[in-house]
Amino acid sequence: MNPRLAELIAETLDIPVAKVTPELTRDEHPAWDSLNHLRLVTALEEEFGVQLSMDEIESTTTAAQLDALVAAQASG
Amino acid sequence: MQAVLDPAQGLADFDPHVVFLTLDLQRLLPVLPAGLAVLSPKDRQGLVEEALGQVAAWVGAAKAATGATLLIGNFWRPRRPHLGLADAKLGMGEAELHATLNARLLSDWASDPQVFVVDVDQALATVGRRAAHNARMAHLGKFAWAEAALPELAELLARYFATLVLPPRKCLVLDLDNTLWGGVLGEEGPDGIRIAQGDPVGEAFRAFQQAIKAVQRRGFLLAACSKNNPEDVAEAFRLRSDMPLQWADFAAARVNWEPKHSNLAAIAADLNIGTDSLVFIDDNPAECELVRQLMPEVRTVLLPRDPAEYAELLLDMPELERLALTDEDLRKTEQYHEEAKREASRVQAGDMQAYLESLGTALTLWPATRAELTRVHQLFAKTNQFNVTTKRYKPAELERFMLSPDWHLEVVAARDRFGDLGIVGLFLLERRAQGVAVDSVILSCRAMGRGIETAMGNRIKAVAAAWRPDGQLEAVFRPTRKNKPSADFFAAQGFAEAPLGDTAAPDDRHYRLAIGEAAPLPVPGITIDNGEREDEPQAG
Repeated sequence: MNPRLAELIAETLDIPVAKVTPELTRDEHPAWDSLNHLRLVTALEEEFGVQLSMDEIESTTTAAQLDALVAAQASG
Repeated sequence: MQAVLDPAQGLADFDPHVVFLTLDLQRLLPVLPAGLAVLSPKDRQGLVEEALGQVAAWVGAAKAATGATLLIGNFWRPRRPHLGLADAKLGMGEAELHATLNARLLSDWASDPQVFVVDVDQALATVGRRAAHNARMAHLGKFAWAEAALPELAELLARYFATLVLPPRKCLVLDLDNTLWGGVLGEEGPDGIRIAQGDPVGEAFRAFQQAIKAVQRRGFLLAACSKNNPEDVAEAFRLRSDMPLQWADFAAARVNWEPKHSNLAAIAADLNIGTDSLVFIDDNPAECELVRQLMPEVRTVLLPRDPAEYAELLLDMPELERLALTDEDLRKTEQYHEEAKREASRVQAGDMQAYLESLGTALTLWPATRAELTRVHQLFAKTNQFNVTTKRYKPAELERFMLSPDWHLEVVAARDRFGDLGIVGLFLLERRAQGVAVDSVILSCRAMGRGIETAMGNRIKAVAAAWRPDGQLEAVFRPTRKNKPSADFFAAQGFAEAPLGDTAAPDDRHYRLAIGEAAPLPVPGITIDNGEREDEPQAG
């Protein structure tokens, strides 16, 4: 998983970066609410110079999925 | 909106200080945007009332649920109206609708001291309407403001919060050379300093002086603090009557070669305010640093190099904000000059008693009404010295005291042969089962020590006698760092110190007076008009 993405997730959710694993899931983490999800998307778009579609933003539920979206756009 | 209108959502339990309502016209008026074109002109007019009616309903619900200050963000214009260029020819098109609504919001809430219309539209325009709007977030999060717009909006709201919560600054202390005018007066002379129209640099300083004049009109006192020969300064103000600021605009001045920090202390003493009420502006980094180090409580502002930036810097300062202006604010400088004349007359009279009588003070006391609410709130919020309990009530709480039969809030206005001081003091009483409690007694520092205290004490006794002729008057003095001038008030009015109740704070001093034995004290040289008012409290 992209280490900078893990840091962004940790900052946004206010948790230690060690706790950010690919399995981290929106539904299971109380701090990962809809507002923080949008903050996270805004931050990673700026950080990696990518733009997610509204469907991608809505349907993303895990750290691993975010990682894949960033990897796909940043490399492509 | 839901949280306010739905009692189950618990706005009342949360008990906020401030509630901020953001308005979105498209959601308030579903007929927008496309429907506007097919409405009759009269129906388009009706939309104005419909939207304002919803805002008023919300404000009513919020007021019922909480005493919080209500901030209404105004309607922000879309970058392009949906009907494009033709919108301008429609007659109450989308753009005109926004402008009309925002003007009406201002006039609808202008006189309500609990409600403030926040110019969100202006903040977004400052950021740039294109950058401030984020369509994707509007759809995803129902939150249309882009991240780029948030700092400007936050700054605007913080300005309200700071002005609501922080103790207000009262006096703007200004350096002269290269602050009020360009150049050094001692070297260039009154005709050489740059302050003339037609000279670009002079005009920048004129703009700054005009901004200072506006700050004075907000209710700030101005003071001059500069290293110059006093004769030069007097001459400059006499010869340069073309300057926006005149010598009479300064309520106090120290023009000498003393260090600035001691001059600031002297200016504060002259004006009977704390040094923590001062804002000090100077172009000299060394002077500013000195004051910062020795008087950290003073808000010190170093001017930038370019005088073209001075005026905007002043208008940007949150410390110079007031939420609304009162008559007392508009006349503040005049009142301090009148005070100086009184002082001179006191020195001349020598004898305090003769002086007080020579003032010819006339007081009017009356139960406060909504018309006085802004001034009453200001006295509660700003008075530090003569303030026996220093309770800082919110406007909504004060309004409830005015309406309640068990509370009596009375104001006192004073005038004398030197001028009109306006409303200078107040007291707040609560009728209880066994007697009457003195909740607050407040007197502006401009009016202290001339017998108005005793006139208020007499009225407190009279109101208490009408309410509970056989009861006790109970009072508390709660010491603060600043309210020593009111420490002896109750003893002077004949109250006896009593043991503290269970709920008292450790430093409180408790006073008691049997209402049946409470005799009015003489107030020599003061005439009092409190008439036989219809709204006199009834015995009961």
